[in-house]
Amino acid sequence: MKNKQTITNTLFSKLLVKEVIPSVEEIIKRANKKKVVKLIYGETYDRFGLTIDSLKYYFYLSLLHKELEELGFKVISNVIIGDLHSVKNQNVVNKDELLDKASDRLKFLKEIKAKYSLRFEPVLMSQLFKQNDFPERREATKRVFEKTPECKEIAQKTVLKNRLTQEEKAGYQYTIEEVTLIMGYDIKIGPPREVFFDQLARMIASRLGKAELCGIYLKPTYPLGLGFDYFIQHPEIEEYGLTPYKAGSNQLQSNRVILDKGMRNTITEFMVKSFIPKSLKLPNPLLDLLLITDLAKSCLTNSLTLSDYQVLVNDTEELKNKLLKQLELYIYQPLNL
Amino acid sequence: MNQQLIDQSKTEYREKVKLGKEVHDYYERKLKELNIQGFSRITAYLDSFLSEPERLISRKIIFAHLGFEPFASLIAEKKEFAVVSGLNPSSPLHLGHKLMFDILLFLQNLGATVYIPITNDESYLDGKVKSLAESRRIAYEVIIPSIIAFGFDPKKTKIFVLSDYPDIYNFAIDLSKQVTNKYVGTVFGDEALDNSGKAFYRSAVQLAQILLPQLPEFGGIKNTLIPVGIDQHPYILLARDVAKRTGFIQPSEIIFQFQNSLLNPLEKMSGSKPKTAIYLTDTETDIREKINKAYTGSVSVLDVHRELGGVPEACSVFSLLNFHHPDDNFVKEIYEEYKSGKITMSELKKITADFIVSMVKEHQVKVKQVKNTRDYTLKKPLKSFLK
Repeated sequence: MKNKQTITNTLFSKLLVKEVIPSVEEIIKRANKKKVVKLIYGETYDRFGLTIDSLKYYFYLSLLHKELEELGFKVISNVIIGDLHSVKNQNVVNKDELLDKASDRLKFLKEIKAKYSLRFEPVLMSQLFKQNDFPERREATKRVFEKTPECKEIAQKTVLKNRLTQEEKAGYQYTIEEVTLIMGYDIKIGPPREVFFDQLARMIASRLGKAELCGIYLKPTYPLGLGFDYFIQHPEIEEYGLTPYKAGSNQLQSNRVILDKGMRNTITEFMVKSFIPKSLKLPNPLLDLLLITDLAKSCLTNSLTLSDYQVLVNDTEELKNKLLKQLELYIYQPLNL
Repeated sequence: MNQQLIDQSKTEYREKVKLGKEVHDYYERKLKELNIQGFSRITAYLDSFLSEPERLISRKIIFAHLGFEPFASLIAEKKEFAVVSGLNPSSPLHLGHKLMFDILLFLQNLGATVYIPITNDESYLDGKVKSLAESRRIAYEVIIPSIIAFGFDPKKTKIFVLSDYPDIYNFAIDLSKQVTNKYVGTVFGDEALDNSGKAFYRSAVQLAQILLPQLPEFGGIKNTLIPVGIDQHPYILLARDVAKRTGFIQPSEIIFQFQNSLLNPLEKMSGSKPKTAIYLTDTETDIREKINKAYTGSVSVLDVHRELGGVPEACSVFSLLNFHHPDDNFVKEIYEEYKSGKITMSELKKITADFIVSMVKEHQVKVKQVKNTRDYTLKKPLKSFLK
């Protein structure tokens, strides 16, 4: 067994993780006080299908789970499929059809779990909402939310500007449910924009006398097949990226990779069209794909290793070759795509 | 060594460090004062996009912008855009002008059609020449051949001397009702209202130059980029305001650092002050003499220089290399060696003078080879706003 203080640095590499709140050390310190450490990654979905970017989160969650277990902690990890929240937005059409897709998604997720021996349990949000104590917990969250003006200020940041009025009218029901759900966990893995949800969860947890959530925010997901100008024109995407698990995020479904038989051609096309920066500091969606294949390889081989990204950004052809090779070995073949 | 001299030299060093910081901080301070965005975020992308390093970007010579974002798309998609930047023909071109033309050439290579108004009317109104005829003569005999020698593409370059392109004044008349004298006074100060010509020039003629590429005669409404020094920022604000009110696309700006005066790194090289400038018509002897007399970032006692090093930021000689030498690695190496005291002032002066002499001589050879200026000059009549 490893020393409990020495978590693998690679898991928190700056190429993989954008931010850890409060800190890696604090995560370990808090885990030491727990009998069971509970990890969560939650995602909604849309009609376009499962993105390759979701894999990054499944793999990361599983690798972190494994690492914590090797450090001697008892760990429970859940991937929440937000079926109810996927249809909450009033702009969503064919809600019933989309709700039905939850079971397909759950099935596919179980297949992915089996192929890569991933260490988490997938759960539907609708199942969690049926837990006996959920309504009571939700009411407690709501009471604090309504009493605390700062909560509303943070909640506004969790919503896109064009949906603000709609959320206000709904009394931030989506946000309150989301926060209630994640407050039951110790460590949440998510994309950078979720930092606001988690900030709210921490604020409410502290007022309810509960343990505050730790957050690990992976590097943003960027659209593929676009020039450098897109990122200059969209500083918010540069900062936070797209919603990784929703292909239709920002209506850029044509610039995302969906896990299906057509993905080989799509990726080849994106390789030609995508802007490939020479700096690791800039958005690099191709490098992000390579990172996903590195994580896939790590799960399959039971050993966490990342490619030398610094070398690869200076050698575009090598980056593309390596990416194609790793996609074949660690994504297409295991998933029969 | 006399201790008093050493102490004086160390004091001199501290003063130069202070001056260097002032030079270094000048643009940051200006950005904050004027609330303009820095260019570094865009620089990061352009660095990756460009096939070869570009010193104007890597050395932060272009350091700020207002509304550059749409040009990123036009550049990426290889679509046309317009760039306007002109000059006063009151003296031959100097290295400060060359810097601006390097920027125009860089933008032309990225897809821009470049409009170069030669504002001999402004030279006359500002009292920089004795007559309109004199500034016109300088424009045709000295300036236009020199501009062409930089290597502009005739198909994408439109040079015009204001007094020989009177249609622009019609356009200026058309725009002039948009700007009151009070507005001109607020933007440019009372001296802009010294005489009626100046007021008309600042309020309308300048605007007409900036908005010219958007006239139907040149393909109609389009994104226009104006490279400017920070002191010209108010011109752009005025132009943006009028453009918005008259149905044109608001022009954008990129702001570049000025070429330091040879005598004071806090001031800019000026064509009307010959000792501050190296002209592209200067002889080798002139250039070497001017560089030898330039303000430097070194102290007077060699041993103290060796011990403490030079201050490149406060050095008008180093700035010549920094602004014009094409090789980033070479400039970086000289910077480090000068800063550490490894290179002496006289060595830096020799390296710089050799480079500038060779660059200017090469330019002079190219100027002599310029035979055809007609392909570059703009003659197209402007009628659209008269219909």
